[in-house]
Amino acid sequence: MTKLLLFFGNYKKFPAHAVRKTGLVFLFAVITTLSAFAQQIEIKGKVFEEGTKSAVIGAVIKVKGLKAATTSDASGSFAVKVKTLPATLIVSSVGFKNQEIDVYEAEPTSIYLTEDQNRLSSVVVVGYGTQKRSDFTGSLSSIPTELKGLPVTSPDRLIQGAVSGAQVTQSSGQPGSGVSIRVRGGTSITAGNEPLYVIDGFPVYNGDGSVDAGVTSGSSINPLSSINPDDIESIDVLKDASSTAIYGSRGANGVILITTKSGKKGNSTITYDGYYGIQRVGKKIAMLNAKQWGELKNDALKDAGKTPLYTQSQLDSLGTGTDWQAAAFRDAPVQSHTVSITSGTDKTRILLSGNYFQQDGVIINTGFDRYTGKLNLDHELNKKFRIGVYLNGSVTHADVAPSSTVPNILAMVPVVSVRDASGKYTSNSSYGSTVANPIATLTEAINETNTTRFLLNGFGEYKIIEGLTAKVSLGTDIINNKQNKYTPSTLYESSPGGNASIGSLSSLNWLNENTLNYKKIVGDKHSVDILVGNTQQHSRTEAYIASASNFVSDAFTYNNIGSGTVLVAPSSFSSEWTLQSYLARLNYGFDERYLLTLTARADGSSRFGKNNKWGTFPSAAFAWNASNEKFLKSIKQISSLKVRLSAGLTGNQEIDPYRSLSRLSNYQYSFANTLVNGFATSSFANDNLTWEKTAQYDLGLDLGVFADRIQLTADAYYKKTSDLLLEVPVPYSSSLSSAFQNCGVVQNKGIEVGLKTLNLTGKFEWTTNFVFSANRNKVLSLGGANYFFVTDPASTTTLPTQIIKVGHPVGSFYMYQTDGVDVATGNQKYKDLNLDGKITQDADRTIVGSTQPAFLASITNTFRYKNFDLSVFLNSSYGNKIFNWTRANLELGTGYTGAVATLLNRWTATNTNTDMHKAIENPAVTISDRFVEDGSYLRLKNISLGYTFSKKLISKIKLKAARVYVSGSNLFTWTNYSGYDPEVSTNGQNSISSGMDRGAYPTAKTVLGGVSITF
Amino acid sequence: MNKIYILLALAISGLSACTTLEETPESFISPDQFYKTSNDAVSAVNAIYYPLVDNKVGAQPIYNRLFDTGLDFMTDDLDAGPGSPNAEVRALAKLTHASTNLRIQQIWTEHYEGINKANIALERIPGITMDEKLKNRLLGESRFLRAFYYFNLVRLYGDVPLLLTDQTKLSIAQLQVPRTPQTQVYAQIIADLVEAANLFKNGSTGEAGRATEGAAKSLLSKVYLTQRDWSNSVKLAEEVINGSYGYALFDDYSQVFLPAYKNGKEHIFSAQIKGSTISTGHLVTSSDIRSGVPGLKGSYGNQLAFYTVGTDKYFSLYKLYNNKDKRKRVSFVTYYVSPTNGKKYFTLNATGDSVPFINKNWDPNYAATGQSDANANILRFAEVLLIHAEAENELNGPTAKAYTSINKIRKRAGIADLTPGLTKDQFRDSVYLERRLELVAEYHRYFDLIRETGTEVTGVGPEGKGILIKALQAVGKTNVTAKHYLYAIPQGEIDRNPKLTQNPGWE
Repeated sequence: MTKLLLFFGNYKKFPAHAVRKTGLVFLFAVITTLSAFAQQIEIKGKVFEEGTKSAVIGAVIKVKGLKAATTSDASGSFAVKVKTLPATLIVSSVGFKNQEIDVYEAEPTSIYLTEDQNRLSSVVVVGYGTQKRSDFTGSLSSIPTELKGLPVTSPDRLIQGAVSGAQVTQSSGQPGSGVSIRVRGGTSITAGNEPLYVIDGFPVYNGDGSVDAGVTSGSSINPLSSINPDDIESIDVLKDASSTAIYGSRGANGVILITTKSGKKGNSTITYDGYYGIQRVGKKIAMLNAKQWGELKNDALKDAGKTPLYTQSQLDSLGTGTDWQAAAFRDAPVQSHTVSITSGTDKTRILLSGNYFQQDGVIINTGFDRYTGKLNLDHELNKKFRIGVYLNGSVTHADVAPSSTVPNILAMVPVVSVRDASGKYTSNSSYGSTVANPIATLTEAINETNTTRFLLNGFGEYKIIEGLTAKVSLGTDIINNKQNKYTPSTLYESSPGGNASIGSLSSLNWLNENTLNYKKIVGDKHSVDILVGNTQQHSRTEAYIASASNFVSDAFTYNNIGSGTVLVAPSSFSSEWTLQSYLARLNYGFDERYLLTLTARADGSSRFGKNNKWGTFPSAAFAWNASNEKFLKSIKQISSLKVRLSAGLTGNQEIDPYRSLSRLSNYQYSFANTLVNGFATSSFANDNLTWEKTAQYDLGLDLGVFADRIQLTADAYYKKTSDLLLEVPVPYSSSLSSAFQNCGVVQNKGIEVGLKTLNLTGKFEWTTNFVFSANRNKVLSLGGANYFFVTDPASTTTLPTQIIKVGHPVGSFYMYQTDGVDVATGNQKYKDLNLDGKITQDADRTIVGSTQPAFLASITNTFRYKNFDLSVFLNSSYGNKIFNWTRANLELGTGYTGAVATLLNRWTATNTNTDMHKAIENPAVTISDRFVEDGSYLRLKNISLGYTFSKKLISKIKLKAARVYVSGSNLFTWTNYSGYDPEVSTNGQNSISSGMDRGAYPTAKTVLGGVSITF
Repeated sequence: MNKIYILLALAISGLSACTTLEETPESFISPDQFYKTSNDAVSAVNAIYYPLVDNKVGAQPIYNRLFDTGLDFMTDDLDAGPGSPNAEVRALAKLTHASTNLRIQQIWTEHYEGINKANIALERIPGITMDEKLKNRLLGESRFLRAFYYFNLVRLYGDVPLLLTDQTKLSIAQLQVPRTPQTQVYAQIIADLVEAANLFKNGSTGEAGRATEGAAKSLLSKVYLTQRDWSNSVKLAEEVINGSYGYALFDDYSQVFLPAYKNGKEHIFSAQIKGSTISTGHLVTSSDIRSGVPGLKGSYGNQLAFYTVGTDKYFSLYKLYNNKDKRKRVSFVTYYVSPTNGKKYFTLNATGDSVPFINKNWDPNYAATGQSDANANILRFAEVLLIHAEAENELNGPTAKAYTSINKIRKRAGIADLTPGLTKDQFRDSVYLERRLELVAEYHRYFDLIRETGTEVTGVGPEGKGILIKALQAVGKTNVTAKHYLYAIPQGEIDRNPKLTQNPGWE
């Protein structure tokens, strides 16, 4: 790295996006006319940025009516020549609003510009560069400013409801837990479906497992929780093939570009952002109390012909018993503190920030905390040569609720107390099924995950000739995850002497990118921007797990595995992958009216079969800036109008390495207590294994009317993914259950609408941001098969809950349909679909809805009055179904475990007209549509009220800016879902088994107060 | 300035050289790298045993719980306890299950896993240059195990695809194979076992717990018994009983099950289980233990089938035992001592009637965790004696030889000799009862019920009495029908292989 940097020469110019800044920006133009030499009058000026009083470089200054243009230099100065006065100067700079300035005489004039509210002239980050939004031909959504400041643990959560076309699902309410994102639906069935994240130019796949050594039980921690959301400058979601094809084999599921803040030229600032809040569980599930449960127990025993457990007087003395939810839930604090320092000179810009984030969980002894440090630095060595580095380091720690926690909290019988008479924790509840005391587990067991992550990306950029830039970057992503688990001997679920496990996962991912970029305006009307490059990325992961039990003392916890007398077989693995790529892009614009983008990327991936490692991903897009046509310019109401059309091919390579190889696995056996190794084939070889290919077509419209007070972006798309990376079922008689093949077709089609309106301007300002997306997913082919079943991987019962079937969406629920409760017997009835008089698995199960929402919509209203700002963010999902495993287990009515209060209405000899079956000693959940619930919701995701102190006031105490705010998250949710929270998917990023709620950690409501102070 | 470009180009090309698209896995090996040494050959054979007790998909392994839930629960001996919350399992125990039932599919799948591993070994090992005696032994083990897996399959499913080559080398289309008639499958089983016995004779001696010549002959005797080839069955059983294999009954019935005596003189072939270390450990013990005993993690998954006999409302297999029968106290447990508080916890149900639990997988050293080291018996000498008694009776009537064999079992159990002078039919009934009492919870009952039923199943023999249906109906499993003589071919397998046909009654 160091060596490389020495080789570079000069540097060109500071890119415009770096000076793009939120808030009001003022342009000071100091314009001087010199005494006229002959017929030429020179106008000189200087462009400043308001807050820092620093120069704005690269602003384009044109004289109206003349072709010639000039740009402001590194000091912000410019000079143009005019023939006569008055003259009109047009000053434009990316991120600022164009300004026309009439110059009447040779006197300095100050002009105040507001920040560009028009998204079409702002800059967007695209793959391997930036572009003016008006020149952009693809489909892209950026997170609006008002939603960037939400208090979240990881930046990907900011996407939820903020952009159209992206569905964000959290797996649970565990602090720090992961999310699953689908951009324009899931293209794949069994390969990964998460979008590609590009963080300051470094592409990462955000798989749940990438920071999971495999020891900790419960929700996976989000790998992106290593990034402080306060450090985020912008998040742009690339959706169509034209914009994602530059990422070739990784573009099919969309690309999320995360750009962190950079330093600014000018005075140094120190900013503190912090908040402190309290969280409370959003909802409790109504359970039977002790007496009610006792009655249920008696009924179940009587139904089985057994003697009741309690006499009436015993029942009467049971009272309400233990509220296990109350024992497990708490009000928990959350806080975040970020200090960032920015500074910049003409040549060097620096941002240094540090963050401490701490969130206690609403379940006792769970939580997440994070320390991050960030350094973004760029420096001009000379006029031609620029170098820079982005560095993000973080340490995170999470105490995770084991996956049994919530199920056990609810399954504990209310007649059991948390502690026994001697003050010790009760071991378990044992009324048929044994349930370990979850409070004891939470308090005494250790179940934690610790991650250290360094993301470092450095570059050198060299301007070879005017317009031609070479850029070389070298980056690395280093992850070290250590997980610890200890179950002390005092707990029911422990082996004698306790169980300890430790696991570690470390990965080193490095990236080299080399690009050449040529930008040229030919003549008056032709603009050309060509990018070519090659990149290579390599990753190596190593992991191990070691476990033992039966320790002499609980004192060691997980720190002395060797002292356990029962050693469990350790495990370890390593894996590597490589991606080599060549990329090219041509942007051609004619007269700012017709725009053409051609993109191609060739990727060679180690993960595929030896015959098919390379793939090429082309795309083309065309856009028509109709508003730049003369005939539309006369229509004053239309301020901008652009029609976009794109088509292209992208890929998906997200499978584990080595899947194309036949492999031998270890099948260990023992002879007379001595372990021996056995090796046999565990997979089919597939030398032809290759990409999933997604062909995508997009038609989009960007419209601004009434001086952009109404801005509409609408897209319709069609995506067809073929050659799916599919686990094709093969006969079990082959000894394997599936072969990894490229077959099957899935389609996604949908529409997206983003509408931003500036309803009121002036003293009272009101903006509305509305986002709508609807996607339809459908399996078109599965190769040879017509369907296959999906069993919830976390399920102890092995019956399928879902089906992947041609003609239906992925995530379709497949099960019996209930048909009320038999009035005579009190048994649950099911529909006999084939009318053969029997209820059979083969014939009487059917598709009963899917996890795919009909549409997602959100609306954000922002109000400003004087120094106050109020933002109200509502988010919704409509039409998606959830399988409520939690309720399925609690509604059995066995009297073996705790039970939900709806069982009060159960069938009895005197209550026969009911939809709740009788109490019955049958602990088997019959998977039926009884537990498929509507997951639709409308949620007040966030409401925040802020007050910005006037500069006049705070300048007296030497502050540059100060704002205080209060904010509430998830305060109200309107839903018919009976579980803790409709935003749930226990199986995380698993596409085929989404929409399951198996005792997920409940989501919290949060109220917090914060300040932001700039010195 | 040119220097910069050159150095830059060098730097880039240098980096390119560090990556390759070729995959060289480090934590597993590919078949091409393997099957070269005698150690490789041993490993290939070890893998064939693996499906007996473990698997990679988290399913119950054949002799480590799958045969409890997928086989014994269907009999008149066992039922699904409160700790068996799986609807599929509860359906099996009531015989309301369908051809889609997962246990039916897992039993099929796991047996074929073993078969293919045997096929790989039989294909690869002959080409390895190594000690011939070791090679013979390994090939013998492979043939024994292939025959063993097919023997279970053919008895459960009837005609099954007879696959004798490594399937993982084939194309996907080649994997669809129709069912082979039972007679052909049996012929292959017998050929494999005969060949295995020969190979073992000329092979080296392996560790205790591996298949041996005695195991091959014992299994062959049982195959002949099932085939109703009484004379060959008697012949093979006598070769085992009188041969120099060193087999004998343990003096004490409890030794048959205690880990300290594993692979002892009575054990001919057992699924080897080492608790706590193999990833799954021993899965049966905790299901055998009642819940709620401090320090014992019992799930109450297994329970004895209860049914009404006369006025006895809670009759079970347990009451068939003579009180003097030592096997009663060994096979069952009626109370647990909590390792935490030392108190006795009786296995009583609410009516006060005793609810004994199966005790055969109990490991006194690890009782508290369920991580038992107890092996699962597959073939033991006691069974060979019972095979001998049964076959001899069928061949020659209740001869002195037949009495001798069955009485050895009864003597060890501490009960009187079998009443002399029984008729052939009475003697047969006595052998079946003895098998039930001696071999309870060792996964023989369902096979025995089918074999005893005879005609409807095999199409030969005179004794078709509908025993299976009668016996199950007697314990209230009234959903039993003639279709239960065979398992369904798993519907999932028919979906994957359209060349398969379904068994009668399961369509």
